[in-house]
Amino acid sequence: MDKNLVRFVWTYGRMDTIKTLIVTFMTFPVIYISLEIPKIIVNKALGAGNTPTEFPINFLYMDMSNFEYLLALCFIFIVMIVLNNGLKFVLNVQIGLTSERMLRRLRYHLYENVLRFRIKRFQHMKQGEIVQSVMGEVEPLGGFFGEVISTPVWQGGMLAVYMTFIFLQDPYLGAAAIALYPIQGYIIPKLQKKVVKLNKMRVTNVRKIADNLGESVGAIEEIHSNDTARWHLAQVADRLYENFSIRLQIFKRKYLIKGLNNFMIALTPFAFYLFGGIQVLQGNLEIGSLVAVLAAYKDVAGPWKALLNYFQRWTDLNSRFELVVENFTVDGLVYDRERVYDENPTPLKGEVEIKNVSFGPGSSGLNGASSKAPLGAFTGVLGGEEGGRELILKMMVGLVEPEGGRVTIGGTQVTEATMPAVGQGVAYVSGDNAFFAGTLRENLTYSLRKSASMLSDTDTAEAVEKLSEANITGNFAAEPLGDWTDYAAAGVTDGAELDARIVELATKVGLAAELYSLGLQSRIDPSDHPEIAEKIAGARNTLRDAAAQNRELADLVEFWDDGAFNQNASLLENVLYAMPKKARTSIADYAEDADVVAVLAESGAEQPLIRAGLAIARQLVELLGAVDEDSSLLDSFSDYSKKDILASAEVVEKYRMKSDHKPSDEEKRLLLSFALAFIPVRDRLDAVDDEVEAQLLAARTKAIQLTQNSDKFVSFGEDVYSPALSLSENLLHGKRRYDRRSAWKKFDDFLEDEIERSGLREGITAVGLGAQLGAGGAGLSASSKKRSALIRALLKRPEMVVIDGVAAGVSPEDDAIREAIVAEMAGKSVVMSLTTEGAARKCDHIIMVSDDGTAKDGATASMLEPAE
Amino acid sequence: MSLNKAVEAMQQTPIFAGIDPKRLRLLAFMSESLTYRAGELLFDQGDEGDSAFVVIDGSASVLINIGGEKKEVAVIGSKQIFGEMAVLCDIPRTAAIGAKSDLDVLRIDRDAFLKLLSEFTEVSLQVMRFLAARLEATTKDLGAAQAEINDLKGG
Repeated sequence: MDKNLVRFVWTYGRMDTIKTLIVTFMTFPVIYISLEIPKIIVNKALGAGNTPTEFPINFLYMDMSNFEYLLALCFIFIVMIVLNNGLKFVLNVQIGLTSERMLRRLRYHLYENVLRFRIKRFQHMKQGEIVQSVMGEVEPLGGFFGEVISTPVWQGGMLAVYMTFIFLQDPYLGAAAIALYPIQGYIIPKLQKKVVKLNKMRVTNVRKIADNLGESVGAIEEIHSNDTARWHLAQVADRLYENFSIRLQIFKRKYLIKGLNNFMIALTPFAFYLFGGIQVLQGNLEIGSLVAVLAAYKDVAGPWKALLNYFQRWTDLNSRFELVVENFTVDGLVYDRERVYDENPTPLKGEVEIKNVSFGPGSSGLNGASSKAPLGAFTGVLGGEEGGRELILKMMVGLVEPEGGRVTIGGTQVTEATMPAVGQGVAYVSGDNAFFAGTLRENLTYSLRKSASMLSDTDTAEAVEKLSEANITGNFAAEPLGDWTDYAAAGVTDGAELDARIVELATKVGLAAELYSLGLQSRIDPSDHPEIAEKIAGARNTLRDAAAQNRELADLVEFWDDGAFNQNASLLENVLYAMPKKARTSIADYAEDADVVAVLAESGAEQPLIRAGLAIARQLVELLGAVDEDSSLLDSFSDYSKKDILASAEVVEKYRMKSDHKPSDEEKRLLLSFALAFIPVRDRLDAVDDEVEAQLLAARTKAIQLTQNSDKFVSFGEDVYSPALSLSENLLHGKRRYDRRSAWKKFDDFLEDEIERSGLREGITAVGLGAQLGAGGAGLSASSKKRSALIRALLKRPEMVVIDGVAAGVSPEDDAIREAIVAEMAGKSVVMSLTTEGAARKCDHIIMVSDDGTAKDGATASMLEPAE
Repeated sequence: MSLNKAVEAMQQTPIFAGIDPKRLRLLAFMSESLTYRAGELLFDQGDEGDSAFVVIDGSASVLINIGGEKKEVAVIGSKQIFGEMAVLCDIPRTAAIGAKSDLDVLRIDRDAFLKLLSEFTEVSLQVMRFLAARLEATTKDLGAAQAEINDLKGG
């Protein structure tokens, strides 16, 4: 990447810059003409010149009277003004366009370099600094890129035009106009130099602030538990002061430069009046010309100021550009571009050879360790608990670069191989593999996300523009939302086969149970999984009959009966005896659903529901009235948000003042949402008395008629899958009894048996793949994350898998996972860290890391004491 | 089961007696009302203690493992509380509790209880008073027992 701003723009923005220059040159004659016309108007049309004009005058091949002549000149003048401003508009747009394109390219370049950094670069360059550089520091460059070449040409050109005009009027005045330029040209760069230096200090300081901020967010738990907030505040306060004092110095110098400039620009008219006035008095200069020169000079000040300003910005931004680019292109710490875009990689494969590697200090480091992990063998790595073991494993996959010595796989040095070669050849699993917001499936198939989905320009105008902009700015022309899955790498042909393969692996590494329970809790769109939906809806009756016959199970469930109120169901379900097709996150949200609200109103349920809602609100206010507004107590009710609880107090108060208060729409929504989500047995407030219950049941009869023929609801009476309910709720024609929650496990076991019997298990497990995990994979437990990381690694079928801290113990469960991994990787290499010798019995080969930072290796029999 | 019944039962227990019924109602609302059938276990000996139970209706057996078998050593009747020490300190269950008949209980979660204590100082005070009284009774008993031991030793 070019470290010189002008060269960067010329290399990548040449076409745009040339276009800008063309428009720039077009403006010059227009400006010149618009200067010339006023002079002609004053001197010739109005007769203020020394030689009187004779009329009619021949102008534009026509004879004109003085009146016509004036009109014609004025008309030309207005055309020139329009033209001038039109061109300026085009010019500014073109400059903006160029700038934005260059900024996009620069940011992309920087980010690409980040991905190309050698891992060790990240020891010195922290997240905060990178973010600050890529986003904040280059931002001001954005407005400047388009101007780098065009502004000096444009403003310099204008200046030249004006100066030419003045010189043509009178050479002496011209000389007077530029007399002070050399002085300015000498002083200002001197002052500017110091500003540049200060600017560099400022940028470095801001980076450190960004780093401090990032660091304290990362260490927030330490800060809280150690009460060190004040120390961190002091640290940032000190940096902010430094920032302040640097900026103050910059300001002072900047305004000094500005003041000097303004002063010198103001001096020049003094010369005009003096010398120009004398010339006019002596009759050597027409008064019209002096007026025109003065007008022109007023215009000269503009470009001249712009040029000086440009010079200031150029020195500032050029140094900033260098500072940023230097930081991202440190020699020897950034891989070649080839490393990312290797088209024909040879996956790393072969014996791992660790030769005399050293890294870090003391017992947590390595000091001349050498070992081997043979091709196709199961190698166990023991010892080195202090950190040596982890280092060796990370070195095997190139995540740690040894300070001395080298690590090769099949003769290729791991840290020199391309990313695709490493990515296809090896996989690395540890306790802290990264998880992303998205579905579990997306997280598991992350290792297959390599078949780039390229942009195409076939669909819409937007697609055409997206692609062409990507090409113009040298960005990767791919669509992140497309299907990036490399099915071939997983040995499958399509998504369905891939799902089956994931479920197979999940069973082997012990993630299937988690997937199954995620699946049961999931809501699905029946059109995505028609087979499962149909089977579940079909199994509902069989399940109900089976459960109803078993006294113990029947005691756990309140079955639906269209003539009876269900004490364990929400009032929404009780009234509708159906669920809307469109799923919402919580039952209370249906108070905003227009279709639901319409049915409630038409069936006559609205009034009793609002009554129930008001009763709930009153009791909530009574229960929580004495609680402080920002107490954490108010966050403990999942069905009643803090905001709604607080809002309900106002509604209750209004009803207290006026018992026949007409609720506003928002108040209605609030009360409805309370009522709809209310489950009598669970919530136990006195909200549904016999009268309300009877009214709601009466409303149900009407609601059933209304929803029966609607395509917006799925009735509980139909054998149809209901998308608004979870899979497990869909399996049950009723509600689990909340007061029997302690025995629900029995029902889960029953469901599991039935699901197994009806062959639904695999389907439900696959549904679990679609569960959303939340940021950082928050929806998974630590052990599920480890297992997921294993699946991610095995899915891409690497030549070698390196596993650190997962299934490393002697428990039968760990042993089974290890066996599954070895079987899955048959004929390929497996390297695993193991906690004890007992866990290493089944290894073919052992690497033993010592606390002195060395290592030895050999066949298992030769390395381990025979088992007793 | 309405909250009122739960509050009524709570008021009869020594730890909650004297606390404003409004607060008890809130605590009951934040807790779970559960029903157990005769023979079902509420928790086992050695389980993590994370909740207290107030018996609203029915009776429960206190069961201790003796020779691999659970033996009933005491019976807890209606309007009584058990497991309350587990809510205040992190100790495993010292005995198992099973339902002797059909049993309605209020299960008070530790988090809910602690939230209530931190929100309302008068509730904390009342609980402290109860604990102090119990400590005093225990100390008295201990003194008496000590005196008896001394008597026996001397005599």
